[in-house]
Amino acid sequence: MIPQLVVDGLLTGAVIALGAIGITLTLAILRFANFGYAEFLTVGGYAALSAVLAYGGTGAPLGPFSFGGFIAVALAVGLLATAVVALVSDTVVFRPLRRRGAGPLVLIFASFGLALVLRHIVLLVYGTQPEYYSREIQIAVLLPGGVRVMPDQILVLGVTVVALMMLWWLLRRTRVGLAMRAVAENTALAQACAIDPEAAIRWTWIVSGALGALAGTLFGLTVQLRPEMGANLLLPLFTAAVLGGVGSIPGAVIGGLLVGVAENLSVLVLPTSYKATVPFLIMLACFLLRPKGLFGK
Amino acid sequence: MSGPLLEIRGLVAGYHRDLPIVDRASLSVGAGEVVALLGPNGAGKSTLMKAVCGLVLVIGGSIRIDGRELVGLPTHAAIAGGIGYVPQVQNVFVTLTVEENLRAGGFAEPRAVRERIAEAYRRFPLLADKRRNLGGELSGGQRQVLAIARALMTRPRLLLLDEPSAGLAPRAAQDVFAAVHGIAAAGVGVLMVEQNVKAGLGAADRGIVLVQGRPVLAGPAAALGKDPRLARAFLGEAVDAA
Repeated sequence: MIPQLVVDGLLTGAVIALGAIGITLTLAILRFANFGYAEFLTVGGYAALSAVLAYGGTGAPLGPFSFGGFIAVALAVGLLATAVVALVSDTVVFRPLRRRGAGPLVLIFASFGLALVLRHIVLLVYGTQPEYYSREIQIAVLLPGGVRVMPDQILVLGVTVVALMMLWWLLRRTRVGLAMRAVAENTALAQACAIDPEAAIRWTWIVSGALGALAGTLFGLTVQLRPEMGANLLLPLFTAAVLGGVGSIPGAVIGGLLVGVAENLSVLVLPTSYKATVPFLIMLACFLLRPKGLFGK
Repeated sequence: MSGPLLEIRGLVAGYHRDLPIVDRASLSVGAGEVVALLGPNGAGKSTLMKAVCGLVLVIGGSIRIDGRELVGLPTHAAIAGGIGYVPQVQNVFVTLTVEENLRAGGFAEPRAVRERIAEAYRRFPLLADKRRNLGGELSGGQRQVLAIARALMTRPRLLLLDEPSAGLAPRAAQDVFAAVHGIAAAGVGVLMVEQNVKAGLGAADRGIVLVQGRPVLAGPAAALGKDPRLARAFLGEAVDAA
Protein backbone atom coordinates (compact mmCIF):
# COMPACT_ATOMS: atom_id res chain seq x y z
CA MET A 1 0.00 0.00 0.00
CA ILE A 2 2.83 2.39 0.90
CA PRO A 3 4.59 2.15 -2.51
CA GLN A 4 1.25 2.87 -4.20
CA LEU A 5 0.68 5.90 -1.99
CA VAL A 6 4.20 7.16 -2.64
CA VAL A 7 3.84 6.82 -6.41
CA ASP A 8 0.41 8.49 -6.38
CA GLY A 9 1.93 11.23 -4.22
CA LEU A 10 4.78 11.77 -6.68
CA LEU A 11 2.31 12.08 -9.53
CA THR A 12 0.19 14.60 -7.62
CA GLY A 13 3.40 16.29 -6.50
CA ALA A 14 4.53 16.77 -10.10
CA VAL A 15 1.49 18.95 -10.75
CA ILE A 16 1.98 20.80 -7.45
CA ALA A 17 5.65 21.36 -8.39
CA LEU A 18 4.74 23.07 -11.66
CA GLY A 19 2.40 25.46 -9.87
CA ALA A 20 4.89 26.00 -7.04
CA ILE A 21 7.53 27.09 -9.57
CA GLY A 22 5.14 29.78 -10.80
CA ILE A 23 4.60 30.93 -7.24
CA THR A 24 8.27 30.95 -6.34
CA LEU A 25 9.09 32.96 -9.49
CA THR A 26 6.44 35.51 -8.53
CA LEU A 27 7.71 35.65 -4.96
CA ALA A 28 11.32 36.11 -6.05
CA ILE A 29 10.79 38.64 -8.84
CA LEU A 30 7.60 40.48 -7.90
CA ARG A 31 8.28 40.11 -4.15
CA PHE A 32 4.78 39.41 -2.99
CA ALA A 33 2.65 36.33 -2.35
CA ASN A 34 0.22 36.24 -5.26
CA PHE A 35 -2.83 34.45 -3.87
CA GLY A 36 -4.49 34.90 -7.24
CA TYR A 37 -1.92 32.60 -8.80
CA ALA A 38 -3.79 29.37 -8.07
CA GLU A 39 -6.66 30.66 -10.21
CA PHE A 40 -4.31 30.58 -13.21
CA LEU A 41 -4.47 26.80 -12.88
CA THR A 42 -8.26 27.00 -13.10
CA VAL A 43 -8.21 29.47 -15.99
CA GLY A 44 -5.68 27.36 -17.90
CA GLY A 45 -7.56 24.13 -17.31
CA TYR A 46 -10.87 25.61 -18.42
CA ALA A 47 -9.36 27.45 -21.41
CA ALA A 48 -8.05 24.09 -22.61
CA LEU A 49 -11.51 22.62 -21.97
CA SER A 50 -13.07 25.35 -24.13
CA ALA A 51 -10.83 24.28 -27.00
CA VAL A 52 -11.76 20.62 -26.43
CA LEU A 53 -15.49 21.45 -26.36
CA ALA A 54 -15.19 23.61 -29.49
CA TYR A 55 -13.44 20.76 -31.32
CA GLY A 56 -15.91 18.21 -30.02
CA GLY A 57 -13.49 16.18 -27.91
CA THR A 58 -9.80 15.40 -27.93
CA GLY A 59 -9.95 13.01 -30.90
CA ALA A 60 -9.51 9.26 -30.98
CA PRO A 61 -7.53 8.04 -27.93
CA LEU A 62 -3.79 7.73 -28.51
CA GLY A 63 -2.60 4.24 -27.54
CA PRO A 64 -3.22 3.56 -23.84
CA PHE A 65 -4.12 7.18 -23.04
CA SER A 66 -7.62 8.50 -22.40
CA PHE A 67 -7.26 11.40 -24.82
CA GLY A 68 -6.56 12.08 -28.45
CA GLY A 69 -3.99 14.27 -30.18
CA PHE A 70 -6.11 17.42 -29.97
CA ILE A 71 -5.20 17.68 -26.28
CA ALA A 72 -1.87 19.19 -27.40
CA VAL A 73 -3.71 21.98 -29.21
CA ALA A 74 -6.01 22.46 -26.21
CA LEU A 75 -2.97 22.67 -23.94
CA ALA A 76 -1.41 25.33 -26.17
CA VAL A 77 -4.68 27.29 -26.07
CA GLY A 78 -4.71 27.02 -22.27
CA LEU A 79 -1.11 28.19 -21.97
CA LEU A 80 -1.61 31.12 -24.31
CA ALA A 81 -4.92 32.21 -22.76
CA THR A 82 -3.53 32.06 -19.23
CA ALA A 83 -0.38 33.95 -20.15
CA VAL A 84 -2.63 36.67 -21.58
CA VAL A 85 -4.84 36.65 -18.45
CA ALA A 86 -1.72 36.89 -16.27
CA LEU A 87 -0.37 39.82 -18.30
CA VAL A 88 -3.74 41.60 -18.23
CA SER A 89 -3.94 41.01 -14.45
CA ASP A 90 -0.60 42.72 -14.05
CA THR A 91 -1.48 45.59 -16.36
CA VAL A 92 -4.86 46.28 -14.79
CA VAL A 93 -4.26 45.41 -11.13
CA PHE A 94 -0.64 45.14 -10.04
CA ARG A 95 1.37 47.52 -12.23
CA PRO A 96 -0.71 50.60 -11.30
CA LEU A 97 -0.23 49.65 -7.63
CA ARG A 98 3.53 49.17 -8.08
CA ARG A 99 3.80 52.58 -9.73
CA ARG A 100 2.12 54.14 -6.71
CA GLY A 101 4.65 52.48 -4.45
CA ALA A 102 2.23 49.94 -2.96
CA GLY A 103 3.82 47.56 -0.46
CA PRO A 104 3.58 43.75 -0.46
CA LEU A 105 0.53 43.78 1.83
CA VAL A 106 -1.50 45.90 -0.60
CA LEU A 107 -0.48 43.63 -3.48
CA ILE A 108 -1.48 40.54 -1.46
CA PHE A 109 -4.96 41.97 -0.80
CA ALA A 110 -5.26 42.88 -4.47
CA SER A 111 -4.32 39.31 -5.39
CA PHE A 112 -7.14 37.99 -3.16
CA GLY A 113 -9.56 40.22 -5.06
CA LEU A 114 -8.19 39.01 -8.38
CA ALA A 115 -8.58 35.39 -7.26
CA LEU A 116 -12.27 35.95 -6.45
CA VAL A 117 -12.93 37.67 -9.77
CA LEU A 118 -11.22 34.94 -11.84
CA ARG A 119 -12.86 32.08 -9.91
CA HIS A 120 -16.33 33.56 -10.29
CA ILE A 121 -15.87 34.24 -13.99
CA VAL A 122 -15.10 30.53 -14.43
CA LEU A 123 -18.12 29.63 -12.27
CA LEU A 124 -20.34 31.93 -14.29
CA VAL A 125 -19.23 30.48 -17.62
CA TYR A 126 -18.91 26.78 -16.79
CA GLY A 127 -21.13 26.23 -13.76
CA THR A 128 -20.35 24.13 -10.70
CA GLN A 129 -20.36 20.64 -12.20
CA PRO A 130 -17.03 18.85 -12.63
CA GLU A 131 -15.75 18.62 -16.19
CA TYR A 132 -13.44 16.18 -17.98
CA TYR A 133 -11.36 16.41 -21.12
CA SER A 134 -12.19 12.81 -21.90
CA ARG A 135 -14.31 10.07 -20.36
CA GLU A 136 -12.51 7.25 -22.12
CA ILE A 137 -11.56 4.30 -19.93
CA GLN A 138 -7.87 3.61 -19.34
CA ILE A 139 -6.26 0.40 -18.20
CA ALA A 140 -3.81 0.80 -15.33
CA VAL A 141 -0.20 -0.20 -15.91
CA LEU A 142 1.28 -2.59 -13.38
CA LEU A 143 4.70 -1.53 -12.11
CA PRO A 144 7.13 -3.53 -9.98
CA GLY A 145 6.02 -3.81 -6.36
CA GLY A 146 2.38 -4.12 -7.33
CA VAL A 147 2.06 -0.40 -7.99
CA ARG A 148 -0.58 0.56 -10.52
CA VAL A 149 -0.55 3.83 -12.44
CA MET A 150 -2.73 5.16 -15.19
CA PRO A 151 -1.05 5.87 -18.55
CA ASP A 152 -2.26 9.49 -18.29
CA GLN A 153 -0.39 9.83 -14.99
CA ILE A 154 2.85 8.60 -16.55
CA LEU A 155 2.40 11.15 -19.32
CA VAL A 156 1.85 13.88 -16.72
CA LEU A 157 5.17 13.00 -15.15
CA GLY A 158 6.89 13.05 -18.54
CA VAL A 159 5.36 16.41 -19.50
CA THR A 160 6.45 17.84 -16.14
CA VAL A 161 10.04 16.72 -16.74
CA VAL A 162 10.04 18.25 -20.24
CA ALA A 163 8.53 21.49 -18.89
CA LEU A 164 11.23 21.66 -16.22
CA MET A 165 13.97 21.17 -18.82
CA MET A 166 12.48 23.93 -20.98
CA LEU A 167 12.27 26.24 -17.99
CA TRP A 168 15.90 25.50 -17.10
CA TRP A 169 16.90 26.35 -20.69
CA LEU A 170 14.86 29.58 -20.59
CA LEU A 171 16.38 30.74 -17.31
CA ARG A 172 19.97 29.64 -17.99
CA ARG A 173 20.40 30.09 -21.70
CA THR A 174 18.32 33.07 -22.81
CA ARG A 175 18.45 36.84 -22.34
CA VAL A 176 14.94 36.78 -20.88
CA GLY A 177 16.03 34.25 -18.26
CA LEU A 178 19.15 36.21 -17.42
CA ALA A 179 17.07 39.37 -16.95
CA MET A 180 14.57 37.50 -14.74
CA ARG A 181 17.33 36.05 -12.56
CA ALA A 182 19.12 39.40 -12.32
CA VAL A 183 15.95 41.25 -11.32
CA ALA A 184 15.10 38.51 -8.81
CA GLU A 185 18.43 38.95 -7.07
CA ASN A 186 18.98 42.69 -7.20
CA THR A 187 16.62 44.99 -9.09
CA ALA A 188 18.78 48.12 -8.72
CA LEU A 189 21.87 46.34 -10.00
CA ALA A 190 19.85 44.86 -12.86
CA GLN A 191 18.80 48.38 -13.79
CA ALA A 192 22.47 49.41 -13.64
CA CYS A 193 23.00 46.73 -16.31
CA ALA A 194 20.41 48.41 -18.56
CA ILE A 195 17.89 45.66 -17.80
CA ASP A 196 14.33 46.95 -17.77
CA PRO A 197 12.70 45.44 -14.65
CA GLU A 198 9.21 45.93 -16.06
CA ALA A 199 10.09 43.77 -19.07
CA ALA A 200 11.44 41.07 -16.72
CA ILE A 201 8.24 41.33 -14.70
CA ARG A 202 6.09 40.91 -17.82
CA TRP A 203 8.03 37.76 -18.71
CA THR A 204 7.56 36.49 -15.17
CA TRP A 205 3.80 36.78 -15.57
CA ILE A 206 3.91 35.04 -18.94
CA VAL A 207 6.10 32.16 -17.72
CA SER A 208 4.34 31.70 -14.39
CA GLY A 209 0.91 31.94 -16.06
CA ALA A 210 1.90 29.30 -18.61
CA LEU A 211 3.23 27.01 -15.86
CA GLY A 212 -0.02 27.47 -13.94
CA ALA A 213 -2.04 26.61 -17.05
CA LEU A 214 0.07 23.50 -17.62
CA ALA A 215 -0.44 22.40 -14.02
CA GLY A 216 -4.19 23.06 -14.27
CA THR A 217 -4.54 21.13 -17.52
CA LEU A 218 -2.53 18.17 -16.20
CA PHE A 219 -4.62 18.21 -13.02
CA GLY A 220 -7.78 18.21 -15.14
CA LEU A 221 -6.41 15.35 -17.20
CA THR A 222 -5.71 13.11 -14.22
CA VAL A 223 -8.39 14.22 -11.75
CA GLN A 224 -11.15 16.54 -12.96
CA LEU A 225 -11.83 20.22 -13.60
CA ARG A 226 -13.77 22.17 -10.99
CA PRO A 227 -14.00 25.95 -10.62
CA GLU A 228 -12.64 25.69 -7.07
CA MET A 229 -9.67 23.50 -8.01
CA GLY A 230 -7.27 26.43 -7.91
CA ALA A 231 -8.49 27.47 -4.50
CA ASN A 232 -8.09 23.89 -3.26
CA LEU A 233 -4.52 23.73 -4.59
CA LEU A 234 -3.53 27.12 -3.17
CA LEU A 235 -2.18 25.79 0.12
CA PRO A 236 -0.21 22.86 -1.36
CA LEU A 237 1.31 25.22 -3.95
CA PHE A 238 2.43 27.78 -1.39
CA THR A 239 3.64 25.06 0.97
CA ALA A 240 5.78 23.56 -1.78
CA ALA A 241 7.24 26.99 -2.63
CA VAL A 242 7.96 27.80 1.04
CA LEU A 243 9.33 24.33 1.78
CA GLY A 244 11.65 24.49 -1.23
CA GLY A 245 12.83 27.99 -0.36
CA VAL A 246 11.54 31.15 -1.98
CA GLY A 247 13.15 31.71 -5.37
CA SER A 248 14.55 28.19 -5.67
CA ILE A 249 13.17 26.30 -8.65
CA PRO A 250 14.75 22.94 -7.69
CA GLY A 251 13.37 23.65 -4.22
CA ALA A 252 9.87 24.17 -5.59
CA VAL A 253 10.08 20.87 -7.47
CA ILE A 254 11.29 18.92 -4.45
CA GLY A 255 8.83 20.78 -2.23
CA GLY A 256 5.98 19.86 -4.59
CA LEU A 257 6.94 16.19 -4.64
CA LEU A 258 7.33 16.09 -0.84
CA VAL A 259 3.95 17.76 -0.30
CA GLY A 260 2.30 15.36 -2.75
CA VAL A 261 3.81 12.29 -1.08
CA ALA A 262 3.12 13.57 2.46
CA GLU A 263 -0.53 14.26 1.58
CA ASN A 264 -0.96 10.74 0.27
CA LEU A 265 0.89 9.02 3.11
CA SER A 266 -1.15 10.93 5.67
CA VAL A 267 -4.12 8.62 5.01
CA LEU A 268 -2.18 5.93 6.88
CA VAL A 269 -2.56 7.86 10.12
CA LEU A 270 -5.31 10.41 9.51
CA PRO A 271 -8.87 10.17 8.21
CA THR A 272 -8.91 10.96 4.47
CA SER A 273 -10.93 14.11 5.10
CA TYR A 274 -7.95 15.54 7.01
CA LYS A 275 -5.59 15.08 4.05
CA ALA A 276 -5.99 18.73 3.08
CA THR A 277 -4.55 19.86 6.43
CA VAL A 278 -1.18 18.21 5.75
CA PRO A 279 0.24 21.05 3.59
CA PHE A 280 -0.71 23.50 6.34
CA LEU A 281 1.13 21.42 8.95
CA ILE A 282 4.20 21.20 6.70
CA MET A 283 4.14 24.95 6.13
CA LEU A 284 3.82 25.61 9.85
CA ALA A 285 6.71 23.25 10.63
CA CYS A 286 8.78 24.90 7.92
CA PHE A 287 8.14 28.40 9.31
CA LEU A 288 9.05 27.22 12.81
CA LEU A 289 12.06 25.02 12.04
CA ARG A 290 13.51 26.25 8.75
CA PRO A 291 11.93 29.53 7.64
CA LYS A 292 14.21 29.79 4.60
CA GLY A 293 13.04 26.40 3.36
CA LEU A 294 15.23 23.58 2.10
CA PHE A 295 17.11 25.56 -0.54
CA GLY A 296 16.35 29.18 0.37
CA LYS A 297 19.13 31.73 0.78
CA MET B 1 33.42 67.34 -29.05
CA SER B 2 33.66 70.46 -26.88
CA GLY B 3 32.49 70.79 -23.26
CA PRO B 4 32.57 68.28 -20.45
CA LEU B 5 31.43 64.69 -20.77
CA LEU B 6 29.22 64.88 -17.69
CA GLU B 7 27.72 68.18 -16.68
CA ILE B 8 25.55 68.50 -13.59
CA ARG B 9 23.88 71.84 -12.93
CA GLY B 10 21.88 72.78 -9.82
CA LEU B 11 21.03 69.16 -9.02
CA VAL B 12 18.53 68.60 -6.22
CA ALA B 13 17.93 64.92 -5.47
CA GLY B 14 16.99 62.52 -2.70
CA TYR B 15 14.62 59.77 -1.67
CA HIS B 16 11.69 62.06 -0.81
CA ARG B 17 10.61 65.23 -2.55
CA ASP B 18 10.56 67.22 0.69
CA LEU B 19 13.91 65.91 1.95
CA PRO B 20 16.62 66.56 -0.65
CA ILE B 21 20.02 65.05 0.09
CA VAL B 22 21.86 66.59 -2.85
CA ASP B 23 21.23 70.30 -2.76
CA ARG B 24 21.88 72.45 -5.85
CA ALA B 25 25.07 70.61 -6.75
CA SER B 26 26.98 71.50 -9.89
CA LEU B 27 30.04 69.68 -11.21
CA SER B 28 31.56 68.33 -14.37
CA VAL B 29 33.73 65.45 -15.51
CA GLY B 30 35.74 65.48 -18.73
CA ALA B 31 36.50 62.58 -21.04
CA GLY B 32 39.51 60.64 -19.79
CA GLU B 33 39.43 62.49 -16.47
CA VAL B 34 39.27 60.85 -13.03
CA VAL B 35 37.36 62.97 -10.54
CA ALA B 36 37.23 61.99 -6.88
CA LEU B 37 34.06 62.94 -5.07
CA LEU B 38 34.96 63.34 -1.40
CA GLY B 39 33.12 64.35 1.72
CA PRO B 40 32.06 63.27 5.18
CA ASN B 41 29.47 60.55 5.79
CA GLY B 42 25.99 61.64 4.76
CA ALA B 43 27.28 64.36 2.42
CA GLY B 44 25.21 62.95 -0.46
CA LYS B 45 28.05 61.52 -2.57
CA SER B 46 26.40 58.17 -3.26
CA THR B 47 23.01 59.81 -3.72
CA LEU B 48 24.50 62.11 -6.36
CA MET B 49 25.81 59.09 -8.24
CA LYS B 50 22.47 57.33 -8.01
CA ALA B 51 20.79 60.49 -9.30
CA VAL B 52 22.99 60.39 -12.41
CA CYS B 53 21.72 56.83 -13.04
CA GLY B 54 18.10 57.67 -12.24
CA LEU B 55 18.08 55.42 -9.18
CA VAL B 56 16.84 58.19 -6.87
CA LEU B 57 14.33 60.99 -7.25
CA VAL B 58 15.66 64.03 -9.09
CA ILE B 59 13.76 67.02 -7.77
CA GLY B 60 15.45 69.70 -9.82
CA GLY B 61 18.42 70.62 -11.95
CA SER B 62 20.04 69.08 -14.96
CA ILE B 63 22.31 66.10 -15.67
CA ARG B 64 23.77 65.94 -19.15
CA ILE B 65 26.12 63.45 -20.72
CA ASP B 66 27.63 64.67 -23.98
CA GLY B 67 24.93 67.33 -23.92
CA ARG B 68 22.07 64.81 -23.68
CA GLU B 69 19.70 65.32 -20.75
CA LEU B 70 19.36 62.30 -18.48
CA VAL B 71 16.80 63.62 -16.00
CA GLY B 72 13.51 61.80 -16.51
CA LEU B 73 15.04 58.77 -18.20
CA PRO B 74 14.51 55.37 -16.56
CA THR B 75 17.72 53.85 -15.21
CA HIS B 76 18.08 51.23 -17.93
CA ALA B 77 17.82 53.93 -20.59
CA ALA B 78 20.35 56.20 -18.84
CA ILE B 79 22.79 53.32 -18.51
CA ALA B 80 22.33 52.32 -22.13
CA GLY B 81 23.08 55.94 -22.99
CA GLY B 82 26.73 55.57 -22.02
CA ILE B 83 27.09 55.15 -18.26
CA GLY B 84 28.72 52.36 -16.29
CA TYR B 85 27.79 52.27 -12.62
CA VAL B 86 29.44 50.29 -9.82
CA PRO B 87 27.50 50.59 -6.55
CA GLN B 88 29.27 50.55 -3.21
CA VAL B 89 27.63 47.37 -1.95
CA GLN B 90 25.88 44.47 -3.65
CA ASN B 91 27.71 45.36 -6.84
CA VAL B 92 27.79 41.86 -8.34
CA PHE B 93 25.09 39.24 -8.77
CA VAL B 94 26.11 36.64 -6.20
CA THR B 95 23.85 33.91 -7.62
CA LEU B 96 25.13 34.35 -11.18
CA THR B 97 28.47 33.08 -12.45
CA VAL B 98 31.25 35.51 -13.35
CA GLU B 99 30.42 35.01 -17.03
CA GLU B 100 26.70 35.57 -16.41
CA ASN B 101 27.54 38.76 -14.50
CA LEU B 102 29.41 39.97 -17.57
CA ARG B 103 26.54 38.93 -19.86
CA ALA B 104 24.20 40.93 -17.64
CA GLY B 105 26.54 43.91 -17.91
CA GLY B 106 26.38 43.68 -21.69
CA PHE B 107 22.62 43.29 -21.77
CA ALA B 108 22.11 46.48 -23.80
CA GLU B 109 24.39 45.26 -26.59
CA PRO B 110 23.66 41.55 -27.08
CA ARG B 111 25.48 41.26 -30.41
CA ALA B 112 28.74 42.46 -28.91
CA VAL B 113 28.57 40.43 -25.70
CA ARG B 114 30.86 37.58 -26.75
CA GLU B 115 33.57 39.93 -27.98
CA ARG B 116 33.26 42.15 -24.88
CA ILE B 117 33.53 39.18 -22.53
CA ALA B 118 36.75 38.14 -24.28
CA GLU B 119 37.94 41.74 -23.91
CA ALA B 120 37.10 41.70 -20.19
CA TYR B 121 39.05 38.47 -19.73
CA ARG B 122 42.05 39.98 -21.50
CA ARG B 123 41.93 43.08 -19.31
CA PHE B 124 41.22 41.19 -16.07
CA PRO B 125 42.73 37.68 -16.44
CA LEU B 126 41.62 36.62 -12.95
CA LEU B 127 38.02 36.74 -14.19
CA ALA B 128 38.83 34.27 -16.94
CA ASP B 129 40.09 31.83 -14.33
CA LYS B 130 36.90 32.28 -12.30
CA ARG B 131 34.41 32.38 -15.18
CA ARG B 132 32.36 29.44 -13.87
CA ASN B 133 32.44 30.60 -10.24
CA LEU B 134 29.42 32.31 -8.71
CA GLY B 135 29.80 36.01 -7.91
CA GLY B 136 29.21 35.13 -4.27
CA GLU B 137 32.27 32.89 -4.24
CA LEU B 138 34.70 35.72 -5.08
CA SER B 139 36.80 37.67 -2.58
CA GLY B 140 36.12 41.37 -1.97
CA GLY B 141 38.83 42.48 -4.38
CA GLN B 142 37.75 40.00 -7.06
CA ARG B 143 34.16 41.18 -6.72
CA GLN B 144 35.25 44.79 -7.19
CA VAL B 145 37.15 43.84 -10.34
CA LEU B 146 34.14 41.90 -11.61
CA ALA B 147 31.86 44.85 -10.84
CA ILE B 148 34.10 47.19 -12.83
CA ALA B 149 34.40 44.71 -15.70
CA ARG B 150 30.61 44.33 -15.71
CA ALA B 151 30.15 48.10 -15.83
CA LEU B 152 32.56 48.33 -18.76
CA MET B 153 30.71 45.75 -20.85
CA THR B 154 28.80 48.42 -22.77
CA ARG B 155 31.95 50.50 -23.31
CA PRO B 156 30.57 53.44 -21.33
CA ARG B 157 31.84 56.97 -21.82
CA LEU B 158 31.36 57.68 -18.12
CA LEU B 159 32.13 55.30 -15.26
CA LEU B 160 30.65 55.93 -11.83
CA LEU B 161 32.46 54.15 -9.00
CA ASP B 162 31.03 54.26 -5.51
CA GLU B 163 33.84 53.63 -3.01
CA PRO B 164 35.80 51.15 -5.11
CA SER B 165 38.41 50.60 -2.37
CA ALA B 166 35.95 50.08 0.52
CA GLY B 167 36.74 46.95 2.48
CA LEU B 168 39.71 46.01 0.30
CA ALA B 169 43.24 45.16 1.42
CA PRO B 170 45.74 47.89 0.41
CA ARG B 171 47.15 45.75 -2.38
CA ALA B 172 43.72 44.98 -3.81
CA ALA B 173 42.79 48.67 -3.58
CA GLN B 174 45.97 49.57 -5.50
CA ASP B 175 45.03 47.07 -8.21
CA VAL B 176 41.57 48.62 -8.48
CA PHE B 177 42.98 52.16 -8.76
CA ALA B 178 45.48 50.96 -11.37
CA ALA B 179 42.56 49.53 -13.34
CA VAL B 180 40.74 52.87 -13.02
CA HIS B 181 43.74 54.66 -14.50
CA GLY B 182 43.86 52.26 -17.39
CA ILE B 183 40.16 52.84 -18.05
CA ALA B 184 40.54 56.63 -17.97
CA ALA B 185 43.55 56.40 -20.28
CA ALA B 186 41.20 54.89 -22.84
CA GLY B 187 39.14 58.10 -22.76
CA VAL B 188 36.47 57.11 -20.26
CA GLY B 189 35.49 59.79 -17.74
CA VAL B 190 35.49 58.47 -14.17
CA LEU B 191 33.59 59.94 -11.25
CA MET B 192 34.64 58.12 -8.11
CA VAL B 193 33.24 58.43 -4.61
CA GLU B 194 36.00 57.72 -2.12
CA GLN B 195 35.92 57.74 1.65
CA ASN B 196 39.71 57.41 1.87
CA VAL B 197 40.75 60.96 0.98
CA LYS B 198 44.42 60.24 0.45
CA ALA B 199 43.79 57.22 -1.74
CA GLY B 200 40.99 58.98 -3.62
CA LEU B 201 43.04 62.08 -4.43
CA GLY B 202 46.08 59.91 -5.17
CA ALA B 203 44.12 58.16 -7.88
CA ALA B 204 42.33 61.22 -9.29
CA ASP B 205 43.09 64.15 -11.54
CA ARG B 206 40.67 66.39 -9.72
CA GLY B 207 38.81 66.34 -6.44
CA ILE B 208 35.46 67.74 -5.40
CA VAL B 209 34.42 67.94 -1.75
CA LEU B 210 30.73 67.60 -1.07
CA VAL B 211 29.27 68.78 2.26
CA GLN B 212 25.56 68.61 3.03
CA GLY B 213 24.78 67.85 -0.58
CA ARG B 214 26.72 70.72 -2.08
CA PRO B 215 30.26 71.03 -3.49
CA VAL B 216 32.28 73.30 -1.21
CA LEU B 217 35.80 72.72 -2.53
CA ALA B 218 37.17 71.65 -5.86
CA GLY B 219 40.50 71.63 -7.59
CA PRO B 220 43.37 69.58 -8.96
CA ALA B 221 43.89 66.51 -6.79
CA ALA B 222 47.45 67.33 -5.76
CA ALA B 223 46.58 70.88 -4.73
CA LEU B 224 43.40 69.86 -2.96
CA GLY B 225 45.29 67.31 -0.91
CA LYS B 226 47.42 70.12 0.54
CA ASP B 227 44.58 72.57 1.00
CA PRO B 228 44.01 73.23 4.74
CA ARG B 229 40.33 73.84 4.03
CA LEU B 230 39.93 70.15 3.17
CA ALA B 231 40.16 69.00 6.78
CA ARG B 232 37.87 71.83 7.90
CA ALA B 233 35.28 70.80 5.34
CA PHE B 234 35.34 67.22 6.66
CA LEU B 235 34.94 68.53 10.22
CA GLY B 236 31.84 70.43 9.20
CA GLU B 237 33.38 73.90 9.45
CA ALA B 238 32.45 76.56 6.91
CA VAL B 239 34.98 77.00 4.12
CA ASP B 240 35.26 79.56 1.35
CA ALA B 241 34.28 77.78 -1.83
CA ALA B 242 37.03 77.45 -4.38
